[in-house]
Amino acid sequence: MEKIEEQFANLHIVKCSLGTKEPTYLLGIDTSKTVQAGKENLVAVLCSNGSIRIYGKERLNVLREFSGYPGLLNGVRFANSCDSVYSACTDGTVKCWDARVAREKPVQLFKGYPSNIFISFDINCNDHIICAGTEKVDDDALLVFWDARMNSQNLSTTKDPLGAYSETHSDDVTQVRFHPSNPNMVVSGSSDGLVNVFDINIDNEEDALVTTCNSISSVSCIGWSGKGYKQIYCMTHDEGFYWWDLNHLDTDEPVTRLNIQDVREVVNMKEDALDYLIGGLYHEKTDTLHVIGGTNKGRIHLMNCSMSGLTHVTSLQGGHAATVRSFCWNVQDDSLLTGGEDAQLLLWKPGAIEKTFTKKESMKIASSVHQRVRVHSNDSYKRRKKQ
Amino acid sequence: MSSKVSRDTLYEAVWEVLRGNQHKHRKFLETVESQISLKNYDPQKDKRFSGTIRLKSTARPKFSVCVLEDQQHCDEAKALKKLNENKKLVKKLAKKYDAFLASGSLIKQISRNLGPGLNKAGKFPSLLTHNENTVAKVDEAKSTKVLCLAVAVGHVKMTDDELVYDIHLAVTLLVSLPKKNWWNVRALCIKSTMAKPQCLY
Repeated sequence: MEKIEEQFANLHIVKCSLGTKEPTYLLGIDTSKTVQAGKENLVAVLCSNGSIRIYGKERLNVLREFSGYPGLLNGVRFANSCDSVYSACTDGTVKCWDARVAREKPVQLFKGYPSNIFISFDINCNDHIICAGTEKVDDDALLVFWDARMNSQNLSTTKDPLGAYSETHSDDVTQVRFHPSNPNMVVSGSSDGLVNVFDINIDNEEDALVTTCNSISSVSCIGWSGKGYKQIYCMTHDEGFYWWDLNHLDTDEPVTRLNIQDVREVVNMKEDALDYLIGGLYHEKTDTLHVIGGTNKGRIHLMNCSMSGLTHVTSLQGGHAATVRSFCWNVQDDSLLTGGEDAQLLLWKPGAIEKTFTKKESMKIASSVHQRVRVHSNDSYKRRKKQ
Repeated sequence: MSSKVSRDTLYEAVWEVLRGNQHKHRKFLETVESQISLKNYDPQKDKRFSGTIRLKSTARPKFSVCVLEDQQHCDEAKALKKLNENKKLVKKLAKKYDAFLASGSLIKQISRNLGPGLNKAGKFPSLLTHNENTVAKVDEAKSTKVLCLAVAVGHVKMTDDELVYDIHLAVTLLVSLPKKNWWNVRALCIKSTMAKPQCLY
């Protein structure tokens, strides 16, 4: 079984999104979870101009665009069982569109409480519950919950919340992530540095709070990892990395697996630099956690994560020309989508280069990557021959 | 930082701040803060400017830290549960101290038995591991500051060397966060609570 490091090293750009009239930062990427025969797979990208663009995955052509105007959209997620795409809006709603239909108005609207400004959200693995986090308004930073189930009767109606948690954060809730397989577990992260884990099956907020982990900084990204997804990792806005193991909540072992205040100071990059972290990638098959970071010039670094620290494994270059803000790894075909402040959406795929490009700009990118791949390809070719 | 803010400029600014304070005797200990204003930074698009910084000297000497320790024979869960029964007590505890430290095993208990009182107050404990020097950790807690556009980096009773060191630490971290570093900084000043800002950049 090829390790993810090898797969990553063998990636090269196969497609680059065509420049659009309005260059924006590409802040978030999600791909549709449902594969429909004969239909193109979809990619949804959160843009800094406050819109969500839907692309076709293979050709990276813009199919349609949805807007939260005048509010700003935060986060982008496809449902697990259909091609509905969701995003949280600063106007106090979570919006849902059908990604396959060019209809401006959301097909479903989830309304929060007065003065809610949503800056993060997630939908759980069985598409039953949506949870959105708010900015701190007066003294409150909330986690608001809705029933996400849609049936033909209540389509196009606005949904009110099921309830909210208000006691567990003291500043902007910047991240919400549901557990990948348990529909009742959710973790929230905030600018107050706290990472709270809840079992929403339990009635009241206090009892639903399973544990609180403290990053002491401001949380920018959280994720689940480990066998059975019982571990949580988090990154902070000042480039810290923290990793906790919930398996040890009831044992004598410490919950903290790794605690790095500033990864830029401790990761050995040899000649290169690490300017920021982008996110984490847990690979189920090999039970490995990887951290993805980058440089301000657009290089992408893959780091392996173990209890002894982060180790730089490999890098991708020749792609982005500026800070990389988002990525999405597809387990099915080992492809990687990356989005940056250079307004580019790139599709990277493993293996040898088969096609040539027709566009001049793409050719430039291809040749620089091709050069790099040649250096490694002897090795990978030998490996494949042995198999 | 030395290329943009020379050592001399920093020392001069610190002397001005300290001298300004000596002239006017205040009834309280003035804090020295660093103020940064950014340019070409779009909070809508750019990465959030946020975090914490650990300074060398204790920026707020009157900062009280409550250390929650687990004793071998103490049933900490029971004790916390009893405390939780009276929400007002938890609130009082949160108000009484500026920060909390607790061992790993106690932190595990806190969410379950003490409830979210400390979360809401913004005073959830930091981790105190067994092999860490408690005193050192308390000092660290006292010196950890939340980063924002104006952050407390010291007080007027510190020596100029101590202030210069901590301001240097703070500025280095503050400037490393925006992607274009110094290019994103419009201005950088230090000031004591009641005085005018002294510009560094």
